[in-house]
Amino acid sequence: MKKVIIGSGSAYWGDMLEPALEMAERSDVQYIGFDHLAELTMAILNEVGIG
Amino acid sequence: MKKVIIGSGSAYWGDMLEPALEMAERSDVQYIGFDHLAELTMAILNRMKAKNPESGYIQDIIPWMKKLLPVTVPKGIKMVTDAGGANPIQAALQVKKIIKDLNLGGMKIGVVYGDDILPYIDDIRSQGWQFKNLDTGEEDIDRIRENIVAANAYVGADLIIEELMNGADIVITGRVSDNALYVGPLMYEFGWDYSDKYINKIAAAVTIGHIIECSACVTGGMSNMWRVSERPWEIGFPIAEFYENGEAIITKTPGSGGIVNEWTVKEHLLYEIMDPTNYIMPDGVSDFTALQLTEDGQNRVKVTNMKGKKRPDTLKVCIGYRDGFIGEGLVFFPWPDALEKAIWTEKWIRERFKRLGLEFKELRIDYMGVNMLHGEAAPLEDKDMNEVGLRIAGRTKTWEEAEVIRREATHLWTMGPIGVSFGVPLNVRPVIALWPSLVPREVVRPQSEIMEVN
Repeated sequence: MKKVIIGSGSAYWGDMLEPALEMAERSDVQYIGFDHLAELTMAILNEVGIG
Repeated sequence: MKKVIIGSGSAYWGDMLEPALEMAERSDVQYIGFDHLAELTMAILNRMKAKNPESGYIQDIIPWMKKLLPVTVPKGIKMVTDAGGANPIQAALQVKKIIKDLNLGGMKIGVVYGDDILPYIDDIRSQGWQFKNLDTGEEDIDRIRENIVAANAYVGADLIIEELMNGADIVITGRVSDNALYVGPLMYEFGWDYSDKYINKIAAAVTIGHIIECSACVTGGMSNMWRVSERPWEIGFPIAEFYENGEAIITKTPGSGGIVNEWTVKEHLLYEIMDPTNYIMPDGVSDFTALQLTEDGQNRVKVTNMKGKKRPDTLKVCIGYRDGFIGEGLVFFPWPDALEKAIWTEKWIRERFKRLGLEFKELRIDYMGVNMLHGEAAPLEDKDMNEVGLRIAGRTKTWEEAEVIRREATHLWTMGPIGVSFGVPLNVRPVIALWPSLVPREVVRPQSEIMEVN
């Protein structure tokens, strides 16, 4: 049966890099998802653009 | 007998304004002293001045003077303030502008500066003076020389007196000793000089300056009297009635909150001193063990029998130098097993730092609510606490390394044990370290002038 292997590489802006890197190196994931955005992160990013 | 009434209007950069204003409004003080400078404030102000040559003073002086001058000028109250910081001339120009804007009439501003020895510190060093570190005993400043950002001598009251003699209504200084803000007006009013004849009188002025210079710290702040301090949220700042015979009464603004009694005065006598028989200031040396305290009615304490010795040949100098960066993080743990969670987390973070190969100049990990204040004196006894916090603070050579500390600590907000709670995000900041030392009095070049406001 077909299976897809997917991992999580980040949960927040500032999450660790090396577990994502080690996942890429050592596992057989086909996809890695990276989330960096919390509720107000968009507002901060918008502000940075304006600033 | 002639007496001079002098109050304290500020003890630190950011102190309250309204107790100073209430003192000016409600009491019969003739002088108010304002201190804004701590050991490393001059380093901060120097850096501000390096970025903008028109800054480098305590900017609070602007809102403060806007409120105070309309009260002090009609009453003839003179103010002596070290808000000039690293740029007394600019501070004086600002005050001049305020006086004109408020149409307060002709006034004289005395400006005292020249406490900055950094421009010629190498000359002093090359003549053999080593600037030994008074805290650590390290013999000379050569190791830190290239990182020095400020070196200011704690000048005495000499030029404050001179400018009061020149008719100054306000005196704005740089780094004079906090104490000199009070000793200056007293010596001026009583006509004392630094000859042997006045040693005990000046020691009395030094003692009284010490008692009042930290504003609320003698009127119920930071006191064992905290339970009985009246309306501490309306705390009054201290006032000294100083008599020509060298005796004084310590009191506070009429109708204000707080408390002054024998206990609060004793507490403050012991504050920030080393040898109580030798409290060394640039204007004189006090022996706090000789004096007597007696209560003289409510919120009034009489201080008598003050004695001391002649002023020293050296001045204290605070050298500020760049000493790496601090990275910091906070994380909190709830019941159950709060302390065990904190201990687990300490191991976690130490292992992380090892894994990342981080090098520290200094690393501190404290359990908030357990041993943050008491350090090793506090036993790690699990009392089934409701909550425990963990503070991780490291000092590193580079900004990047300090940022790693901050970042790793934030990971704990989600990777710590069950129930772990977010701490406060804290920015990495540069560390300016303090190198306290002495400098021969005669090599320091203080200057002063009168700035006229017409």
